[in-house]
Amino acid sequence: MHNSEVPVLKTSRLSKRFGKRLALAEVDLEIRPGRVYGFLGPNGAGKTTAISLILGLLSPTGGHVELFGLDTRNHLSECLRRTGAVLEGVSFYPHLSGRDNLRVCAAISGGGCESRIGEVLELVGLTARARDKERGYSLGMRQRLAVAAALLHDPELLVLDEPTNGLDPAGMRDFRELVRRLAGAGKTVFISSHLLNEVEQMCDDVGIIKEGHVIAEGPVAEMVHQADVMEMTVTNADAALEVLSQIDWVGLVTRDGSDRLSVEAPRARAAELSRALAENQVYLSELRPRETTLEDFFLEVTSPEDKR
Amino acid sequence: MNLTINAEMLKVGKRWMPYILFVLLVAGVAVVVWLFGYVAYKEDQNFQEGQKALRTFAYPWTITALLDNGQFWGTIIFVAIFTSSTMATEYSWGTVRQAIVRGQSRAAYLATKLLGTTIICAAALLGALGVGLLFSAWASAAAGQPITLDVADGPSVPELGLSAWPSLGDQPR
Ligand SMILES: Nc1ncnc2c1ncn2[C@@H]1O[C@H](COP(=O)(O)OP(=O)(O)O)[C@@H](O)[C@H]1O
Ligand SMILES: [Mg+2]
Repeated sequence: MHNSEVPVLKTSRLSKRFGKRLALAEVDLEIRPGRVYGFLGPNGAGKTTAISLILGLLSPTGGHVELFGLDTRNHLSECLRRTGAVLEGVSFYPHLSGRDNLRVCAAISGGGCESRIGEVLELVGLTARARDKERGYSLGMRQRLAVAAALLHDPELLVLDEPTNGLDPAGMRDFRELVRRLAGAGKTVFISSHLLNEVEQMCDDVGIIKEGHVIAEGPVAEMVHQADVMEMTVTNADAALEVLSQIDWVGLVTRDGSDRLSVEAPRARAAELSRALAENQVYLSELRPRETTLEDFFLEVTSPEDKR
Repeated sequence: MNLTINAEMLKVGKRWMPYILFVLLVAGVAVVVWLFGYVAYKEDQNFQEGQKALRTFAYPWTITALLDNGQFWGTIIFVAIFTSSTMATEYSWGTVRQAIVRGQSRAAYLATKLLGTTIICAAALLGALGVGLLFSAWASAAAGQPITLDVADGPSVPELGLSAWPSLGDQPR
C-alpha cells in the first residue's frame, strides 16, 4: 500500500520563532511508513510547536513540511484528510456521551465515517462506556476517546501530542498496547513525549529534541545498543589482556577492576572470544554485553545545560 | 455544511440551557397574556384600563402586543447570552482546533456554528410567539371575545403588518 521510498512525514529545515524566542531551529525529521516514531524532549523543547507546524495550526518562520510526499503549503487539506491528530489540551463536550462526541467529530470530518464509530470505540476499548457522558470519564478514557476521534476517518498517519500525560501506570500500559496495535494495523504513528522509558517501550524510532534543536535521531534499538562493548570477569586479567591484544577484531580493552575487563568487540563474536581465551587457559566467569540505555544517552545529550 | 448544522443541533439539544431559555420565554408570554391581559381585564372596573388590558390578549392586537412587549424582546438579550456562551465554551473546550486539524477553516466552522445558533434562537422565538397566540385564543374565548384578524373600524390585516414592522427593527415608516 505504501511506497516505502516516500517518508510519511518529512520536515525540512523547519523553524519557528515567537518574537525573540526561537522555539524550533531548522528541524529535519523523517518518518517512514508503518513506524512508531517517538519525538522525545523535555518540557518546553518545542514538541507542541513542531506538531502545530506539521498540522498547519501555525505557519513556520522557515522551512516546510511534507506529508505523504505532498508539500503542506499547497496540499494542506488533502494531507489533513489522511492524518489523524490528538492535540495537547483538546477536550470534548462534557455534556455529551462518548458516542455523541464521536458523532460530532464525524460530522466535522465531512461525514461518511459515522459508520466507523462502533469500530473505533471497540478499538480503543470504550464500547462499554460509550453511552456515558464524557464528564464522567477518567483521563485515560478521555485520551482513548481522543484517539478514537482521530481514527474515525481511517487516517494513514496519527500524530499524538503527549497522549499519556497524566495517565497512571495501568493507563500508560493500555495506551502503549493501543499504539502497538495501531502500528500492527499498518498505521504510521508520530508521538511526542517527555518520558523516555515510554518512548523506549513503544517506539521503533526516536528523535530527541532539546531547546528547539533535534540533537539525535535513529532507531531506538540502535541507540540502546549503540556501542558493541562486552563486560567480562576473567580468572586471570593479565593473561586475558595479552590474549585479547592478539585478536585483530577486538578494539579497545579497558580494565575495570582486578578481574574485570570491558572489551570493544562485535557482540556476534562473543563465542569466538570465549574460545580464544579458553585456549589460553583464561576462563570467563561472566560475559555480558553492556547496554547503553536510551536513558544514558538521553541524559548525556540533554544534561549539561539542564543543571542550572 | 448540513452535517455541521446537525452536529450543532446535537450539541445544543443535549444542554439544559436552551430548554430553560424556552421555558422563560413562554413564562414571559404567559405573564403578558394572562396577568397583564386576561386578569387585568376581568378585575379592572375602569373602562379605559380594561380596553387596554383587552388589547394585550384579544385578536388581532395580541400579535403586536406580543411582538412589541419589552419582556418579549428582553428575552432576546437572553438569546444573545446563549449565543455568546456557546461560542465561548467552544473556544475554552479547545474544540475549534479539533475542527481545524480536520481541514475546516476557522471561519467556516464558526459561520456554521453561528447559523446553527441563529436557527435555534429563531425557532425558540417563533415557538414562544406561537404559544402566546394560543394563550390569547384561549383567554379571548374565556373572555367571550371574537378570535379574528379583522376589526370593525380598525386597521386591516396588511396595515396591521405594517404597524408591527417597526417593532422588528429600526425601519423608517
Ligand atoms: N504561542 C507562543 N508564543 C510564544 N512562545 C511560545 C508559544 N508557544 C510556545 N512557545 C515557546 O516555545 C517553546 C516551545 O514550546 P512547546 O512547543 O510548547 O514545548 P513542548 O511541547 O516541547 O513542551 C517554549 O519555550 C514556549 O514557551
Ligand atoms: Mg507540549
